[in-house]
Amino acid sequence: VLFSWCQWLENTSWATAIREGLWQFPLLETIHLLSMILLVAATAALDLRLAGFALRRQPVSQLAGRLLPTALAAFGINLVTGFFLFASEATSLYVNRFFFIKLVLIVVAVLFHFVVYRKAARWDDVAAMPAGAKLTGCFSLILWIGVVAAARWIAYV
Amino acid sequence: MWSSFCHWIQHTPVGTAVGGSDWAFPAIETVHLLGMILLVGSVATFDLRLLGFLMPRQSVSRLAGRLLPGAWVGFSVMAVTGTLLFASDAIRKYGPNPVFPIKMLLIFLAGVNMLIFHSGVYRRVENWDDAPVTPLRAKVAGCCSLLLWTGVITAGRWIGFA
Repeated sequence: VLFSWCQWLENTSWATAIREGLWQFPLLETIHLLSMILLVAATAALDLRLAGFALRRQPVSQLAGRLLPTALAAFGINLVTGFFLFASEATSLYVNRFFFIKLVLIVVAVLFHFVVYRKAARWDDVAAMPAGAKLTGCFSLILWIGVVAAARWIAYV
Repeated sequence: MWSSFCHWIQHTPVGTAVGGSDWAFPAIETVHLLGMILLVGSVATFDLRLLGFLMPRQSVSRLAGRLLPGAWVGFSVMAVTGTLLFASDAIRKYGPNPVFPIKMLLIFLAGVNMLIFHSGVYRRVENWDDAPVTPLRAKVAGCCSLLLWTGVITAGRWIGFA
């Protein structure tokens, strides 16, 4: 069922236009890349604060309040551009194992964010973070690096 | 001259090793991307402060002291990984690529912009360090920097399609 949906998606007129156009695909990919920088840079800054490597004197909640809206907006742009890029090559991505790994990592990172991360952002004004918060920061950082790596590998199978 | 340089670099041990491996290229490209996140994330944050969009109460010189070392680490990572990626397929793909010189030119212009900023308006930063509204020349520098680095990324992405 999912595969026939991919076939249908790939054959829509706009997906065909992205695939066959000279500039549509690279343009979407460039926007995907720019918003990825915004997303990962904002997330990593907060991760490094939680892990205790940077910005130690900034209250965590203040930092989170400034960085997370940016990360969320960038995530939205990545989702939209990513969907269009996916549509243009849906059937080959359906069988690409790195695409699958990337999606799993994103789902884990998003779930992790809502379940654990939001609570971890409560430790304010503490120079030495509790071990749990440090682990949270490190884990989130590793997850997003994994997403970038898996994404890059999609093109090499 | 250029083509003999491309031949030389692709035939160095490193060039043949990266070019002949299945996993080295995507691995190095991933590190190249992570360096880019560090470089552009740091530079853009500083540029946005110069333009007045972010952290108006942070002193400019203090922000520069905290962000710019990260930018240099990111730049170094990109320069090293970028050279390796170039060496892996210099003769056929990157040497003759029409977009590659555009990317190099944009990086050069970003460097010139940075030099003009640091040897110009930033030398008297103590006069406007804590001002939420920065001088016009600092705003121009921030704006040029944002546009140039966006151009570098766009050109970088286009190399693969040219």
